[in-house]
Amino acid sequence: MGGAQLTVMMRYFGWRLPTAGKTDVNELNGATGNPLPWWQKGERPDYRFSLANERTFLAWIRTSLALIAGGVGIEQFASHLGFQEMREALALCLLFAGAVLSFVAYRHWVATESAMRANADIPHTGLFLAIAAFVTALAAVLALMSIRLAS
Amino acid sequence: MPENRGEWGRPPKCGLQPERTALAWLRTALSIFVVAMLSLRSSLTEGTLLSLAAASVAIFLGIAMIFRAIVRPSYDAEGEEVTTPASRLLMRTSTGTVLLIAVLESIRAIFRMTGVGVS
Repeated sequence: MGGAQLTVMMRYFGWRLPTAGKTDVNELNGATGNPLPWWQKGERPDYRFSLANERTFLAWIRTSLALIAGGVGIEQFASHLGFQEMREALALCLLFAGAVLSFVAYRHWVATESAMRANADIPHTGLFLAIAAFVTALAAVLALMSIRLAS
Repeated sequence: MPENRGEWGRPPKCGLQPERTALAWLRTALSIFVVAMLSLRSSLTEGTLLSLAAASVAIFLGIAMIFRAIVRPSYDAEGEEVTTPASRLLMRTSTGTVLLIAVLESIRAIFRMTGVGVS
């Protein structure tokens, strides 16, 4: 991985390199002239809300872990369900969804915390619809695989 | 805010929020241990190093989470600032670890699908 990609990745995760004269003066730290990181911009929210936001992040992480456990579990314990290729595809879908969800959970935590600091609306997220649709589809696929087993 | 101090130096409006958050970290750590055990089992039955690596990382992060849930101060001396640098670091680490477990297990699943042996 080159230096440029590493910088982009580090910036994404909240690091800020010194970039004097490039940003709005109001967002600059007076002592050093560096732009403020997102967790120092705006006002400090009531810490009860920050803690609630943190618990919400953890709940999403647990959901993500449950998806991963489901993916590994289908491979390990459901050798009678459907046929081999279908099981493996389903396990991959679950693992992929778990990976994506954990990343989206972090982004959502940052967005919510930033919105609270800026005294703005909490950003809309498609996460709820996405996870509901995924679980519904999962239930449908598992039901189809079970029917095939019964006949 | 000295007038906002409750018993034992805790701000009265703090309530049970820090305890609830610590318990949430513990629940998440337990979930991580469950996933670690599943990965460990698949590494034992199939003999893949990828699952063993996923399990090791998961166990390490679970221990770190429990340690943090126990030692973390939920508010500083002034009863302010909850989002500490350590908190952001642990959230990035949690996200990164869950991603890593999922990716390692996915690679193992793909290898298994395509019939390539990795041991």
